[in-house]
Amino acid sequence: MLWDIDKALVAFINSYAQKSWAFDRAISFLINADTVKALPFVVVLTGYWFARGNQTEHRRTVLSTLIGAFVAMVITRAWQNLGPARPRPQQDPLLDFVMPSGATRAERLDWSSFPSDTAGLTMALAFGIFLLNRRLGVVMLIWGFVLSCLPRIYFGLHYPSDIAAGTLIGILAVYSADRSSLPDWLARPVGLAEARWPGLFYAVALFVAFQLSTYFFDIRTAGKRIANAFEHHRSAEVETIAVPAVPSPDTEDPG
Amino acid sequence: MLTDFDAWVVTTMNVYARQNWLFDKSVAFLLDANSLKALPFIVILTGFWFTVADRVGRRRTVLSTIVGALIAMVVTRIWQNEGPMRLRPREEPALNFQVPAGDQHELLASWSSFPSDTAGLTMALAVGILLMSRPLGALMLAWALIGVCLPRIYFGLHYPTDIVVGGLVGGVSVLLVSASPLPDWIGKPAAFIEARWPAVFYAGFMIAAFQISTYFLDIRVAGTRLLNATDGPTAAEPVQRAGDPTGSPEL
Repeated sequence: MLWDIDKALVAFINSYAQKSWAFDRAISFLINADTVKALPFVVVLTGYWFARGNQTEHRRTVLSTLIGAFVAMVITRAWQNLGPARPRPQQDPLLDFVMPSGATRAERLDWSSFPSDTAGLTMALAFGIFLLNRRLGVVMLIWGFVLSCLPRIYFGLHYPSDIAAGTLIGILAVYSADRSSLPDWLARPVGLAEARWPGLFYAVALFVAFQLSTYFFDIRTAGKRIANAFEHHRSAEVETIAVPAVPSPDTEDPG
Repeated sequence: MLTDFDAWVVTTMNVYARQNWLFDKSVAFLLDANSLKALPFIVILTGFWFTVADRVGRRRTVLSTIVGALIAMVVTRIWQNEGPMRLRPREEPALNFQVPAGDQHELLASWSSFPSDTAGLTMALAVGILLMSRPLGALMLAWALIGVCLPRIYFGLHYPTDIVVGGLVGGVSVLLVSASPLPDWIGKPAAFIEARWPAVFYAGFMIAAFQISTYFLDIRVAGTRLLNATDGPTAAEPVQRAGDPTGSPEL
């Protein structure tokens, strides 16, 4: 029954593909633009970290959010790798998925479609903001859903249930972290480091913030390339270079 | 416009292309990964911003560095667009350049090779760091040259003279800005905002840090797409995610 709902929703959303070149290109921009899909959350959390008034409370919640986000990433990624493999909509033979304008189907997509780790991370951060400020949180949750999650369905990278599951994991992870005493344990050494070595502390903080804002793209790429390097040397085949003429947005590492 | 020196350096380095797949791929990673290009410099500058010792002096220098870097980016980019067109080494027929394995930079070839805006940005940031710490500055200068600029020559994206001139533009910009009253003019209102509305200030700080670290890629892509909106599917644009792992032939 879940499959029927998934299939119907994807078919509905897919009916808009190839109708408007400009619209399709706009969505493809969103798929890749970290400035729009990830950065705003990190920026808001940064703002709350430095806000005057209620600083201890705020900082605790930011820590909960980071802990929850990290846990959500681990869970969704592990589930993708170790759980039952689910082909992505654009690759699924049971679906007749039409690629939006200007995009090509990816040759080989790693990892299972379920659950979406992009949704996990994005919605975890959005929920953390919700804990800090109801109104802003609702805006960010909607922002995350519309600008980060929906485009992935539109490009056949995920089913709605993948997104839903990822979202649930993200929200639960942050909620649990916030209710636990983990943030309090963390707050002590963090506060100490920040007071004692502020230069080093914020240098590291910026590095982490950047990685969050790119969904750890470079680290994941490096991991893939290293894994591939071993495979390549084992098979010792001649590599052919075929450069795609138009960058296809759906070839970004799906999550 | 191919000087003997440039040709010699490029062809000498090109001898090594495609000899070792692993080496080529590693260098390609340096080429593509944002985390390794401008981010290390931005991370260090952020660290200096928050240090306690000589806070006022350091913050002034960080501001000079950022302003100088932005000026260098604009100058080198305008020079690339408006100045005499120079083909990149990999496009230059006289050189018969063999592109090393693992690179996907097809669309960047449309701009002139001279001067290198990457060199401009990274050298500007490195010089700024040098002004605050000799050892760290030396390290970052070395990284800028070896980790950022050299891979670009290796992949035929720039000539050595593009790098040198770009780097000079970057370094000189920062030194000039630092010597001028500009950082003080900016510093005053910046300090005021930081004290009054730290949340907003550091939210903006984060946006700026991210954009500089990604060379304003998303903004440039959006701008190009909007400008070309009427052109339809054939318009060329900056590659949004160079070195994408999925769907690329290396996987």
